[in-house]
Amino acid sequence: MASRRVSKRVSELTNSVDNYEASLSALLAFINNATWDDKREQPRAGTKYSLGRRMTASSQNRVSPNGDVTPDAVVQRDPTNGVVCEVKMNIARSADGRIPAFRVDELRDQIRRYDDDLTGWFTPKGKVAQHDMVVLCDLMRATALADVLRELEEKEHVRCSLALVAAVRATQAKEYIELKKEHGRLSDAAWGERLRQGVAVPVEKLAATQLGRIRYYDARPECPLYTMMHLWMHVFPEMSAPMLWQGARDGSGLEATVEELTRKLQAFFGPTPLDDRDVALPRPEWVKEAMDMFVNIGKAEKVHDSTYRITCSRLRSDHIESFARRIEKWEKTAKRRLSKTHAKQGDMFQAKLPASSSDGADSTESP
Amino acid sequence: MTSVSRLLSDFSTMWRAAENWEQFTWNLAGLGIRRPLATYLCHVFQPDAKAPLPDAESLFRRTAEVKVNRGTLLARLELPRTSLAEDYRKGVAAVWPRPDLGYATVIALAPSFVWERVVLARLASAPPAVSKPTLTQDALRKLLVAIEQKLSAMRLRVRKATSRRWVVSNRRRVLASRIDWEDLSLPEAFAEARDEHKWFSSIKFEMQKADERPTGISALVSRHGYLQTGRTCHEFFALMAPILGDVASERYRALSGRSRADTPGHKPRPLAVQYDQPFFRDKANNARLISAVRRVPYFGYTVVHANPYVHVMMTDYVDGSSYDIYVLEESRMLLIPQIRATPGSLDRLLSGLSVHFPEGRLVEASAVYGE
Repeated sequence: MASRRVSKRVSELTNSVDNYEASLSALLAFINNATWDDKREQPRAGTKYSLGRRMTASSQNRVSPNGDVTPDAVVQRDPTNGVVCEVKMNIARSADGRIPAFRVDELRDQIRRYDDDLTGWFTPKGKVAQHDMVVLCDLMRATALADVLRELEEKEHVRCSLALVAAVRATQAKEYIELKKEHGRLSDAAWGERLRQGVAVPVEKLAATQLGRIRYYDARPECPLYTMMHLWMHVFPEMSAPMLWQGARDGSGLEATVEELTRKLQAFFGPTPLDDRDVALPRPEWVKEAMDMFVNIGKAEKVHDSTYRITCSRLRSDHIESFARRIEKWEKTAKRRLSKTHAKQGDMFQAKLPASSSDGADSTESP
Repeated sequence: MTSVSRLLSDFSTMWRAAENWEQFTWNLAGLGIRRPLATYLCHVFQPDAKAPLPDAESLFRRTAEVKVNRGTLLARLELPRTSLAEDYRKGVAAVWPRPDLGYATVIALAPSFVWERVVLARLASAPPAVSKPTLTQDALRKLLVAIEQKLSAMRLRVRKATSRRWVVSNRRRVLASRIDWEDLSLPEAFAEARDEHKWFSSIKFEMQKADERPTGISALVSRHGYLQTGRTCHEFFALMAPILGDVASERYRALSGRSRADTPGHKPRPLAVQYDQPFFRDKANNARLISAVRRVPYFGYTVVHANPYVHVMMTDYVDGSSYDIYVLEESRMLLIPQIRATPGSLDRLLSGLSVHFPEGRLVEASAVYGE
């Protein structure tokens, strides 16, 4: 029984990595479709997009007047028309399949924020004549989310065109991400109709062009394991002398700061910032969280506040599984230690346990 | 002094006396070598174009089994004491840098055991300093066809071939090695390989006159990127070695310049491994690919997704190169080099995979998907 629980947690952790990539692929597939000229079969001229762009709300904004809002993606299809996209691929559902109330409130807040004359588009004045709002979700959540949006539109006036697009992975001779508009309308009626009929974006082309380069969007990965994988597989070996990995000697190890590692990840795996409105991704706190987890599982030690020494040792088994097992082991030890502490203190309340992602399927979304 | 020791000593003397590569090979062609010795030749490349080409000192680090003589170009090889007779444990290797051609030629007179255990093993562990390109099935065919074209009034006959292919054993598909002694022309041998879905590890070929009389000249070409002959002859050096250099250079160039650190805007320069058939339609081949990934020496791996599509991250612990591998199409595998990707590492990865997994045709991904 115990070993089944171990593998469940390990698979939860490893699945979280896959989930983040799935959300990112769906977002990139949507951007690809939004910027694609079907007639000419090439990207539309003059389109621009950004992942995690800081937009400024107007003084009329119902949630944050004159404040900054950061949608998951903004796409400017032409100088007059834009799209704001929010990813809800793994939004939590209750047992009856409905979206929990607090998530509905969050979504309503986001829609109110973006339903405004936003500034920050790629035009000289930073404005477009109109923009649409798209909620991107997994097909399994489409009905529940469509109900939420319908109810929301009935209760309050939404000025922008609002649409719900579902993404699903389809395996045929090629791997595709199929996008289908499940609710709402888009100001470009022809594009809206194509999405209503369903479009298929080949993943291979995405991987060869965008996904091979962009690994982060403006949502914190559910678990630090995602960033740990990129650091261990792509960044640490490149930054260190090759001989370090041939066998760790006493005191040998790669010393790096969170800033250095963040810069490296941002340069090679983050979206390219177009101007100072674009957020550089991944954020330093995500990298710090990953480095702290390396310390927890004994693969690094903290030298100073943001400086770490990574133990350069070759792993033989599947790295993601190996790290997930170590994380699980650390979580168990931490739980036990916490329980003991609370027992000693005679705490009546249940001990606070280390964060577990088992219930947090929605944590791939931006706060 | 045994005849083997005398031959090795003659090799060293010729090396010292030679003023240039042509003179050395010309003299060497007259050396009547005998078993267990054979002549081996391969070319090694330096990933950093600005750095000097490798020499014997850098290729064969001085150890108990390797003595580097005469400056840094000649190495005396000797296996540590084993049950093998003395004649089977000794060899000599020389390195001739060819800056005009962009590679250094390694030539050795040694028994096969010494070549494999000392020279090839050293070259394999020498990276990232050097790279010895592997010859794919396509490269082997190109090499042999080019040799045949250069030989006027002579034909090549394939006499022995070692190959690998999938076979069904106890209801499981396993990779089997096979040796065939045959007498086939080049088109016949490669057509047979294609029909039987096998790929060659090495091919021993013989030169034949137009009237089908044998010339007695034979050589072996290995997918590990070397040529071997039991009898030194001028054709071996003057004809085959440069062609091997051309084919190896082509492979080396195809794998070069892939590091994202060096590309404009850090854009990836992916490669695609193309199969003639919808090989990944059978999803069991995804598992076989992952099994092959696990066995690539010196590489670490992470399986992000295994089925129905494959996404694997790989890192080369030898030189810090790293890659993403995707299978998202039935007849293609996509290889995305990341921050660092040296040609040597890419070659080790592809050849490591092809030990346990069918080899495909390497193509530029931009030719398939566009920029």
